[in-house]
Amino acid sequence: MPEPYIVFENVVVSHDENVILGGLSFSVDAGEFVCILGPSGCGKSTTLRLMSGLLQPQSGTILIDGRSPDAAYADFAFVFQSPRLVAWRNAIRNVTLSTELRNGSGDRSMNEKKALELLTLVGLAQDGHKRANELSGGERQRVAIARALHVNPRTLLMDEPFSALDVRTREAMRREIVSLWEQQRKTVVFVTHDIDEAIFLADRIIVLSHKPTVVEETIRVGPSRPRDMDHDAEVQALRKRLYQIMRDDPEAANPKANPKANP
Amino acid sequence: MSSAATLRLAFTENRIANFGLIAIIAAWWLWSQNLPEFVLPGPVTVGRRMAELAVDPTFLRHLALSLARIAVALTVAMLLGAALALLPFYRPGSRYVVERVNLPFFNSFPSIGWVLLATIWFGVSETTVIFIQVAILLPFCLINVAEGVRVLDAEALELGHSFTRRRTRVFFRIVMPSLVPFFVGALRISYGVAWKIALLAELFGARDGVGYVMLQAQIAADSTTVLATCFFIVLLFVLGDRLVIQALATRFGEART
Amino acid sequence: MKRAVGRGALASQLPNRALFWQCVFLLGFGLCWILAAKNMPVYIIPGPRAVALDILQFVTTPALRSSALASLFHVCIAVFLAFVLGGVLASIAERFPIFRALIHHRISPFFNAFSGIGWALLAVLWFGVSQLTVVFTVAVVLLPFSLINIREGLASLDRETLEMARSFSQRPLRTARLVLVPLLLPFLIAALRISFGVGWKVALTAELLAGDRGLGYVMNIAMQEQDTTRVIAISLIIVVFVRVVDKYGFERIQRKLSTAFRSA
Repeated sequence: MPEPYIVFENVVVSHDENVILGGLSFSVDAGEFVCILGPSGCGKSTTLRLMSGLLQPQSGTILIDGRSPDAAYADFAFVFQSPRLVAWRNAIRNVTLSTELRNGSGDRSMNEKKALELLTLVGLAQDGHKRANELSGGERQRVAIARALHVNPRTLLMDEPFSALDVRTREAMRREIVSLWEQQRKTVVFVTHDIDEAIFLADRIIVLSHKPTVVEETIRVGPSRPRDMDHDAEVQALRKRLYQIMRDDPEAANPKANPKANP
Repeated sequence: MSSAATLRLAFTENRIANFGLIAIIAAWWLWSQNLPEFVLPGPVTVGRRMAELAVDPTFLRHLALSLARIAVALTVAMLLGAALALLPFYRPGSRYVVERVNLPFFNSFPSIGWVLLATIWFGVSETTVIFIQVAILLPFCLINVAEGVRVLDAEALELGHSFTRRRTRVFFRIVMPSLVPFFVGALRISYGVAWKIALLAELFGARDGVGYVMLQAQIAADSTTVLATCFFIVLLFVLGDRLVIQALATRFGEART
Repeated sequence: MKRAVGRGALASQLPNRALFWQCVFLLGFGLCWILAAKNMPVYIIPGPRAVALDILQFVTTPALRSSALASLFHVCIAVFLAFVLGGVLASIAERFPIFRALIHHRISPFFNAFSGIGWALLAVLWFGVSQLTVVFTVAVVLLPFSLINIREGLASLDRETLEMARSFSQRPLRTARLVLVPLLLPFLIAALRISFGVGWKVALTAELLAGDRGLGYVMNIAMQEQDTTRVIAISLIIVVFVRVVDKYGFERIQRKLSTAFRSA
């Protein structure tokens, strides 16, 4: 059996006297779509930042294909909760920004051609010359996804990328990200506090506990995609089980924040 | 108010503004009738002198010289101000030194103090003029750019670091573009101050430039030339502001603090 | 204070570290000054001791004290005049909108673009070397600052609050005193604060070019006598005075006002 691609072993992060991650251990295989699910404020985003070397742990080991996160940072591309488009560039140039940051200026027309292809892929073929303030929230997040793909990363790190969107857009984006993943088969590590989102997207769900955070449970999601969230019995059972694991979390259990949760 | 009424008001407003301007010039003319020319020359006299100066190569050379000095001083002050403003960003320990020691010091140090010190130190020379202008303009540049640095978007910076580990790339592609509107704001204010106050440098530190021309005219009790030169400065200020800085502001946006 | 561990210790020491660097900077600056003064003649760079002693002179010598007071007088009168004139112009533009373009798009930009040095030189020709010249120059340079700030205040006035005031009282003076002025106060203070800071710079210049008393005048004499010590002493006195008034006067008032407004 091959070595897993990303390995966390007994990772501890503390801020002042506050222990955030209290010995986190898990692994992710190459090409896998993994959701990290946990109550809000449990250190899910911290985990992603550790993976790409934006944060250093106090102790424990993190290996990316046998390398340290700092050495392997070019494997990753981040999609943040807010799109973080820069105001002084249009959509196309926002997409190329990632490559310019990572590899320098390079061939501008090549970069822009590729950006346009990616914008087409996320359904924004016509909007390349718009500025951030001319795009809707969902469109901005699509640009951010295209930006992440532009560096052709091995792995996408997604930090609750759809949580600021309205319900309809959110569902559309979920379907899109799944079809993207099915085309490209990149490794995706997707952080969310939304149980349905995790079930809909993931091959495997890593459930985190409250602080100090450890892995509560790792669950493989069986049903084939696209998953029928309303009628599939396996999905219903999984949802019930995840609610039981996470029942202390008011936000995930709040039916208003998560309209599909109410049977 | 209906849009037609708004339009009518704007129209009247403009007419009154232009009539008011003519009325002010007329009052100036009336007043100057009873005063000797060396005290208050009339608008016609000043206008004629301006026309003369506009084709006088010596005067144009003085004007060009002042403009060039201001351009150099602005560049130096902007670079210095930006460097000082960015220092706390890369070395957080220096924040207090920059914002609580250097900025207030330069901000409240009297301009005339710089003028006299520079004249003593460097005599009559280009160094004196540039030194004085830079010292006067520096706090205006520093305040604006420092504000830009303070409101730098931490999220955009993290985005930058997530894609690259090279600080220079983050600097040129995230930090600098974020600061551009603040540079434009700093430029606008400094450009105005340069024409209004920093000309002082030429009164003491130079034997040419419009500041020098004004001083010589004043010593000769030539009010006409002093006024004509002042109007030229107003003209140059407005032209530079509308043509160059306004264009920059529309292109890159402008932040005022 | 709880004992901090690891990174926390660094964070809790941060203000101290800033203070440390501040001290290092000031010490380094002082050291450079002393070294420079040692190797240069006094008329180029006087030492800190000489400057400190000269600053003391301004407390002990009545003539110097009165010239400092003269400068303060010039600044205050000019700030006041510019404030009143700016207020009147801004109010006219607000009350009679047909004058708006004349005041804000003709008069204000003109004064804003007119060179301060030009005013000073002209004022000498008009009023001779006198206090009037100084006050005129400073006031006319400060006018656009006051005008713009008060205009902004008037533009941001809350129409609903004013309407509330008018619904209770028919007397314009009373509504002005009880509602209008308090609403405007933050902008008025801001106008005064900027004017005061700029006013000192202009006042010294005007006194040097056209004054017969005041710190600028003293500086003029000092320069003619190559008395660099005095030039630096006066500059530092101004730095400290302006800074103290700004920090413990204006800033404190503004902070009080902003907390008062937040709780309202």
